[in-house]
This record gives sequence, structure tokens and C-alpha cells, in this order.
Amino acid sequence: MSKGYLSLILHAHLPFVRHPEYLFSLEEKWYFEALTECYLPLLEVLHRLERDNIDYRLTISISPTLAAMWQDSYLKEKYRSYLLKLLDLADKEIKRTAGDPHFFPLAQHYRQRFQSAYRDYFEHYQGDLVGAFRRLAQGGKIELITCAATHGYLPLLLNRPEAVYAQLYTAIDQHTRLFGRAPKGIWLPECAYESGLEEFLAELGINYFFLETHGILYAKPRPAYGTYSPLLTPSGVAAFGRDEESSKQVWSKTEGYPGDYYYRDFYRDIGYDLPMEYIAPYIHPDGIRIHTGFKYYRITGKTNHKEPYNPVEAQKKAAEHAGNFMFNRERQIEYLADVMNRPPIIVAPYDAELFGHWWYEGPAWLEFLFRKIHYDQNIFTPITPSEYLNLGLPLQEAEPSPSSWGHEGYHGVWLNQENDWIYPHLHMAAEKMVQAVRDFPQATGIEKEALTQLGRELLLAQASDWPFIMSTGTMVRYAKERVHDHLVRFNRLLTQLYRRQIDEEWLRKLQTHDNIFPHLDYKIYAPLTEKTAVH
Amino acid sequence: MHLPDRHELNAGWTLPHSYGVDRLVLLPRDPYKLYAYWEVTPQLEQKMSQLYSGAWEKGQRVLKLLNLDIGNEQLIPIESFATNWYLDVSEADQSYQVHLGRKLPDDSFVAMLTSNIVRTPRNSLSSVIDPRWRMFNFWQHRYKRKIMCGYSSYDIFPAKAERKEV
Repeated sequence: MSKGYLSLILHAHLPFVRHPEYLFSLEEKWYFEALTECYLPLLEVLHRLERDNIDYRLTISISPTLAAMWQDSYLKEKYRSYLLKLLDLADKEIKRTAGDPHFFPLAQHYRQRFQSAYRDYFEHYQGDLVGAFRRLAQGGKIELITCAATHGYLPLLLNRPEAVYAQLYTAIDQHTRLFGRAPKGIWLPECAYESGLEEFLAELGINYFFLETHGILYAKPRPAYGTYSPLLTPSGVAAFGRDEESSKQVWSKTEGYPGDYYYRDFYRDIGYDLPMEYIAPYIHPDGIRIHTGFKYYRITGKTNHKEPYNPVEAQKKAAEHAGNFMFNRERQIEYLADVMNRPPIIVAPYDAELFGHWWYEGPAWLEFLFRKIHYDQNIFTPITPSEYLNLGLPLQEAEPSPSSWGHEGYHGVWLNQENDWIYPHLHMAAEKMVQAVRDFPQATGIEKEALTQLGRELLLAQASDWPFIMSTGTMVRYAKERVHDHLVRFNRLLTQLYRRQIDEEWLRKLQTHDNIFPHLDYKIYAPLTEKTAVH
Repeated sequence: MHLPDRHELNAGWTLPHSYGVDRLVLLPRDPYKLYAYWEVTPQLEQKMSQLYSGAWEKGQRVLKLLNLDIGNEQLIPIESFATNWYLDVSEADQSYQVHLGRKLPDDSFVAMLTSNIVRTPRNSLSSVIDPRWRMFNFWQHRYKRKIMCGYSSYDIFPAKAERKEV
């Protein structure tokens, strides 16, 4: 008999990296790689589980910036040329490696992968991943939830509450339009929580959100069941806590599965290994070597010497690791059910991009795991957070502790000497946006369009990805430019609005370029005290 | 179709160094650190200078940090041209506010800007127990189990969340 529950959560997010102004954009390549390696393989896994009637449950948060990119026709066509180029390289690789017992089968493996990505995306899904996930969710085994509009780091925007409200409202509005039903849950960007956020969530009809482990453990009063039961926050929204043990097994560099020596090595790539005259057409146009996606080696060990990758062996490892993960959850849940006297829930959230991109075998692991859970055990049941809440178990009321899932567990990754300069500008822009709604309460025509674009530029500037990248120290210039550019556009457009001198041609360019959230209503920035209940 | 480039979209504009608004904003960073940033307009500086003629210029610019829970305060000297500061605090889970001003030659403090109030995050288990929710010796069990598996106390009650390492 089932003694408890496992809730697996995948958080799918990429920042809005649409760059029609560049012939080649590394950032668009992140997105194309994630399509090929993560989202399409994930859909493939889910369809197979559905076909075979596996009783699985998966909760997926799809960030609004990612959903917006899925919808974008420019990116769809650019993905086509990206894949065609990869297929061209695949043909060359098959010729180049002909006769090699290790590399020839791998070149074939990649060609097959890229061909099926092309087929799935352009023929099967007709370029519509939103539709693909929406249809899957109708089966009831997948719960789709949202995130903040541009993944804004909400605790550091909270001093202008309207900015937080707009991040949340826009996300829920977009999700409802695209996926056909309002999200019941939300993934707070970076799991970042500050007291009071739950009130916005309650007002916007959200039933639950997630917290880092200590966000629950340090709640007041002390949570009787730790992270093994959600808490009821003062606003009535439930907060689920990340389980430490299951997180570590997947995330940890030293103890985690993705570091297994039989798994594919991410860093060795023909983009770095092959002669320039051969690889030049497939790397950065300026001749900078980059990843191509053709990776022929396995991790092998803590050594520079790498052995050829063997997909069959790697699959066996993924199956073994799925079995290990399941075994550990069985023991954990058996033990907890015994001491708790009620069924525990283990909440295991991961970045979706880990599965397939960094951890090539991740999607296979997920499939093995759900199949094993279905056939090989009866200690626990997979569940979605909504289903768990519907069980009607009494929940302890407590105030969670401010926290995030970043290094050191608080806000330091997004607020330090590398990125603190953005906050005076972001806060001032939010202040001015709220004032603009006061000053133009019933704008029409071009003024309304300008106000709407102001909202878009502000949202884009607020993405948590930019300060995060500044902290990590790679691609810093890009992140700085993104914050700078959106704020500069905001400031200039605001000045034009107040002077009643809107440069229409330039505004059109902004609308074409920063084209996220076509349904944005600038009035969501109305001062909070003047707002009526949410529709 | 012609697509605008980045420079065309920004039209040569850059971010301003200041906004001409007097403000002092306080943000909680972690249980032991706050971040304050501010802008003081020349008008405000001039007004203060007139109000405290002679003494104002000789004064030292300071941030006054107030712990609103235990009611103590601390003066932190800062450089005149600084526009932001990280403040170390010794207590987690407390409410703080800062004033920006000057310490005048007679040792009096004069504020010219006041911040919002923030609360630092907790960094430990709450001592508050809800009697309706028995602990079932739960924490004790959790502790024992992990020790048996070779975990350290760090793993059991993490002061730091695990970083995404992959």
C-alpha cells in the first residue's frame, strides 16, 4: 500500500533572447540547444509514457519568457536554419568518421537525433510546443504552472509592490491564454521568497508555490513535518519545500548522478577539437570556437584523457540511477510515514534544462524512473501538488522564512558588488511606470501603445537572469547590455510620452523587437491601493 | 526586411547617473547583511547646509543603522561620494531602518533621508512551537537517521542552501 508521495517538478526557463538585430546570436543558440536537447526529448518521453499508460505525474513550470519564445515565428524559422546547418554538419561527420568503430556510430546517433528533432518540431508539432504541452496536460498526468513574467527576482523588486504584481499578473494572464486554464501553482523565480509575496499569490488565485528547504524549516512556528508536508501561509496559499536528499542526488557535482563516468562529457565538442578549416562554417562567424552539439566522449574520470562515449552503456547507467533514486525514495518515505503518522510528500524540483543539455541522459533517466515507479514498487505514488492539496490533509499554518535556492540560500547572488548598480535604475523605472499610469489613466492610440511598450521594457529589464550572469562572471557584457538597453529604451520612451512627442517610427521598432506579451495591459501598474479585485 | 540594430534601438541614450530625486532605499541581502543606496540632490544638500550653517560642511557623512526590534542604533561613517553601502548586522530576523545624514562637530546626528524598513531573514529553526502540531519526536528522528548515514550537522540543519552545482 502506498505510504507517501513523490512530486517531481521541472522548472523550464530561459530568458527572452530573441535577437533579430544580430546575424548570429550565441544567446539564441542557447534556446535552440534547449529545444533540441531538452524540450523536444522531454515531450518524446512524456508521449511514450502516455502511450504505454504509465501512471506518472510531473509538474512543469513554463516560464513566460520561454513560452513567448516558443510562440515566436521569427525564432521558429531561425531554428529551422539552425537545425539544417547541424544536419549538414552531421552528413560531413558521417563521412569524416566512416570506418571508425567508436565515432562513426556516434555521428549516426547525432544525425538521427537532429533529424528527429526536425521532424518532431516542424512536422509533428507544427512548430507549436505550447500546443504540445497543452494537449499533454489535458490528460491529467502533467500539471502546468507558471513563473513570474520575465523571471524577475521578486524579493528585490518588492519595495515597489506594483512591479511584483505586474510580474505575477502578466505571467498568469499569458499562461491562461496559452495553456487554456489558469495556473494553480507558481514557481517563484530562483525559489526566491520574501514575506508578503504570498498575499499577491492569493489575490491572483494561486494555490501553491515552492520554497527552498530552509524557507520551510525556518518557518515560524517550527514546522512539525519539516519539508514533508506543505505549510499554509498566512494568506492561505500552500508552500511546498524542496527535499534535500533527492535534490542532492541529482544536483550535486560530487554525489549527483550526472557526474557518472559513463555519461556524456559536455565540454568535449568537435567545435573545439577539429581543425578550423573544417569546423569554421559551424562555429561563431568571427572564428570563435563554440559547442556544436557533436560530443563524442564520456566523462571518463577526473582526467583530461577521455574515452569514447557509448550511448548503450550510458542508457544502462541511467536505468541504474533511476532504480537507485526510486530505492532511496522508498526507504525515505517508509521511514517518514512511520514517524509522521501521515503520508509524507517528497518534493523534488529541478531545472528542466539540466535534463538533456547538461545531463544528456536526463530525459532517459526520467523515463526509466517513471516506468520503474509504475511497475516495480508500491511504497509511494507520484502526485502533483494540486492533487496532494485535494487530499484534504490538514496543513500547519506558519510563516515561511525569506530564502532562495541560490548560493548561501538568500539574495546574495542577485545583490552583490557585481550587479547592485541595477537596482536604483530598476526601482526608479518601476516608480515612474506607476506614476505614468496615474498620469495617463485612460490613454488611447499611440500613447497607449507607448505605455504598453514601457511595461514590456521594464519587465525585460527585471529578469533575474541578468544579475545572475553578472555574478557568475561569464557573458557579463551581454547581461549588462540587456539591463542597460531595456532601461534606456524605457527612459527615452517615457520622456517622449510626457513631452507628447512620441517618435512613432522608433516605437514601432521597439514593438517589433521587444515583442513579448502582446496582450499586456499597462494598467496593471496602477497603484495597488487603487486596484480592484483581479478578474 | 530591415531590422534595427541595438544602437538604433537605444538611439545613443545612456543611463543617467542620478534621477534628481532624494531617496534612501534599504534592501535585505541575507541574515547578516543589508544593502542601502541613495541619491541626495544638490537642493537637499544646500538646504541642510543653510539650516546648519558652518557645522554641516565640517560634519562627517554617516549612516545611522537602527535595529527596531531591540532599539539600538549605530553610526557608520561613510565616504562623502559613496552612493551605496553594505551594512553588516549581527542579528538575524530583526527589523532595520537607516538614516543618512551627518555627524556634526558637536557630536549630534542630523538626518536628511530615511529609508524604508526591512526585516532580515531567519537563519535557524524557530523556537516557536504550535501546541496543536506535535513534533512527534520528528526532529530528533531526523537527526539520528542522518547521523547514522554519515551526515554532518551542516547537512542536517543547513545554514546555507545547496548550490546548484551541475
